[in-house]
Amino acid sequence: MSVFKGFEISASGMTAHRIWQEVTAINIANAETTRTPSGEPFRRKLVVLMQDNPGVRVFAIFDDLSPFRLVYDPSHPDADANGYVRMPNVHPVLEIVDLMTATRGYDFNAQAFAIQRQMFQQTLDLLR
Amino acid sequence: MALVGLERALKILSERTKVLANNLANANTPNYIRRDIPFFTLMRAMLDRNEKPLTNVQVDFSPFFRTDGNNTSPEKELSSLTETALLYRTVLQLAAKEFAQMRSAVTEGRR
Repeated sequence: MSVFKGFEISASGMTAHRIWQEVTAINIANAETTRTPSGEPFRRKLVVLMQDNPGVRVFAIFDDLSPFRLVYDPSHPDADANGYVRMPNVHPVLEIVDLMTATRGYDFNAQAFAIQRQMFQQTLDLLR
Repeated sequence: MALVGLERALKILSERTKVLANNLANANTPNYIRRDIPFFTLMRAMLDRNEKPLTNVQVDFSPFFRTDGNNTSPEKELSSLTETALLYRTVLQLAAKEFAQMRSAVTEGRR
């Protein structure tokens, strides 16, 4: 293993958690979006993390296939014949929890990075 | 001998840092089982029985209390990482002392 492998590992953790943060941001931003190119309301996006050698990576971003929320709002342009609107299957509370988890994960990796940087700096100081 | 021992200690510690960083990177990966390198066990094996320590990564099957089958705990990883960094620094200082002593011997105590 090379000296900088540890940096790479922590960086992969930061990247994966940052992508997760971004996906929660996308979900929250589209929590009320009833129109997408596919014609149906916005589907919540799910990040799947996968162990990598070394570190971690985002395996894929999937659509959450759980049913849409039905809201009764006959005045809405996208309401069906019975006056119901299909709303995205995004639950802002869940997104905030995911966002907190992702942020914490990012912070932990950033700390690990800082500790390793410090160790490397100390090794360099030995050469002075 | 002393320098060889210090060198091996540094090697184990830097490998351990990578393993712990890997645990932190996978803090939210479902079904990830944490890994560790038992530094003290390896050093003891080296000092007591003169075994050449292999930096063997061990899988830690301690139980998980999460629904995603992941048994890492960020606090534990971070404290182990801090501990490893401090030990690393200590060993580095010892190595520096060792070098200073050698220099002193080479220059016959003169500066």
